[in-house]
Amino acid sequence: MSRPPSPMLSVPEKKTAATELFRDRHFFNSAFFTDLREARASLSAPSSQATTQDAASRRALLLRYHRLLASARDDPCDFDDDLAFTWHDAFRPHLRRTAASLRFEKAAVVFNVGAASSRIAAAVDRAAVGGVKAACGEFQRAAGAFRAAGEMMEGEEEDTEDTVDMGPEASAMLERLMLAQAQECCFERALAAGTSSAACSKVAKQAALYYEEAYASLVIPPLQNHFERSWVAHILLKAALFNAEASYHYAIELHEKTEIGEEIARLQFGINAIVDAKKAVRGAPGSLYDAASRLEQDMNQNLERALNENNRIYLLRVPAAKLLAPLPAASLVRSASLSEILDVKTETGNQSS
Amino acid sequence: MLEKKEKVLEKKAAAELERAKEFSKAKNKRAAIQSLKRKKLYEQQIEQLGNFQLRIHDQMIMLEAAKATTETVDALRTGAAAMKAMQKATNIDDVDKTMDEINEQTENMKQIQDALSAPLGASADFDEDELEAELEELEGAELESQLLEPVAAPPVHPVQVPGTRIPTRPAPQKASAEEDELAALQAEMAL
Repeated sequence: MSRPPSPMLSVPEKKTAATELFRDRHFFNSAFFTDLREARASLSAPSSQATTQDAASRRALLLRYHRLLASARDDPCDFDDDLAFTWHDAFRPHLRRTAASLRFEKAAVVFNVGAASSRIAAAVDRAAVGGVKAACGEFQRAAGAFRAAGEMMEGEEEDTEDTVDMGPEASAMLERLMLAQAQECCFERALAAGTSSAACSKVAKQAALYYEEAYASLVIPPLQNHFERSWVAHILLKAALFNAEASYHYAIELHEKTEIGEEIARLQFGINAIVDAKKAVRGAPGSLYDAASRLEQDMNQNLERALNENNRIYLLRVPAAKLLAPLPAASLVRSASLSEILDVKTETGNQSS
Repeated sequence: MLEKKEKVLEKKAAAELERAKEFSKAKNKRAAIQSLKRKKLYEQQIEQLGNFQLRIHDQMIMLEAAKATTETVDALRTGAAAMKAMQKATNIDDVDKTMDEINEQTENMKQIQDALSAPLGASADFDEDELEAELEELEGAELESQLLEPVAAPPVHPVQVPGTRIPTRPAPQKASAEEDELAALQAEMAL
C-alpha cells in the first residue's frame, strides 16, 4: 500500500534585532569576541532571517553562535551595561520582548534550532531511501529543542504576555507535535517494511495520541487564537486520520483471527471518525483530505467484505461502539537531549541521524 | 369506515323500530308497516356491509399468509446460500487433509509420550531383577544389624544407586513476535 507522504508542519523561526556586544572593553579586539560579534550580526541580518534561506545552513549558524555564547562566562559583569536582546514571537511576529538576559538569548537560539530542524524534517523527501529515517531524527531533535527552550524560560521572571511561543504551554504543545510527526515517520517505515497489522496499529495509535495532546492544548488559553487556523485544522485531521489507521490495521488483525464481530465494529468506528473529521475540519491541506478519503474507501471495502461474511458464514453479534476498549499504543520516539541537539557534527551542516 | 357506516345504519334501524312501536300504539297500522319496511331496508344494507368487511378481512388473512410464505421461502433460500458458502469453504479435499494432519499429530503425540515414558540415561541400563535382589540384600543386612549386639555389629557399606530423575526440559518461552517487530523498528528509527 504505497501512498504519497502526507504533509508535515514546520515551525517558523523567531526574528531578532541587531545587538551590539562587547564594545568599550579591553578585550574588544580579541579573536574570540570578534567571532562572537560577527556570529550575532549574521544571526540578526535581515537576509539571513528570510525563510528562503537553507534551513541546514541556518541551523549551523545558530549552533555555532550558541557554542560561542556558551564559552563566554555567565558573569553579567562581562557584558555591557546597556546589553539587550530582542526576540519576536515566532507565530505573532509583531509581539516582541527585550531582556538583558543571557539565558533568554540562549533559549531563543535553542528554539530557533528546533524550528530549523522542523523545517529540515518537513522538507526531507521521505519517499527517498533513508528519507523517512532522517525526517524522524530531525523531528525528535526539534521536540527536544522546544522542550529545552521551555525549560530555560522557566526561571525567567517577568510578564509572560509576549513570550507565548516559548511559554510552558507552547513548548509542551510543540514538543508533542514534533513527537507526533516523528511517530508518523515510524508508521510510514512500518508500512514500507511490511510490519504486521497489530504492530502497525500500535504505532498509528500512538501518533494519534500525540496529535490529540497537541490539539488539546491548542483549543484552550493561552494558545487559543495564537496559531493559524490551518495549523489547528491540520492537527485535528491528523489525529482523526491516525485513529482511523489504528482501527483499520487492528481490524485486519481481527479478520485474520476470524473475530468478525469486533472487526465490523472497529471499521465502523474508524469510518465514522474520518467522516466526522472531514466535515468538521476546514483549512487543512487538500492532500490530507485526499489521504483521509482513500483510507475511508479502503475501510469501506473491508467493512463490506466483513458484513457479507458475517451474514453468510459467521453470524456473529457485532458489539456496540461504546463497548470497544481503547486500542493499545507503542511509542517508538523520544525527545532528543540538549547534548544531542547541540552536537558539533550538525553545526557543520551534516544531517547525521 | 365501513364499521362507522354500519353503526350509523344500526342506529337508524333502531330508530325506525321505535317509530313502528309508537305508530302501533297509536293504532296507525299503515305508518307502522312503513317504518318496519324502512327498518328491513337498513338491515339489508347492514348485512351487505358485513359481507364487504368479511371479504376484505378474508383478503387480509390471505395477504398475511402469503407474506409468511414469502418470508419462509426467503429464509430457506438464505439458509441454503449460507450452507452452499459453508460447503464451498469446506472442501472434501481439505477435510481429508485435515483428518490426515490430525492423525499425524496424534501419532506424533503418542511417540512423544512413549519416548518420555521410556527410562533415560544410566537408569535404562539397570536390570529390574538385579535391583530387586539388591534391595532384598539391603533389607536383610538391615535386619541382621538390628538383631546383633551393637558392639559386635560389622560395618555396613551402603550401596550407591544413581538417581533416576528424568531431566525436565524447560518450556520454550516464545517472545512476542509483535514486540520484537516494534523493538526492531524503534532501533532502526532511533537517533
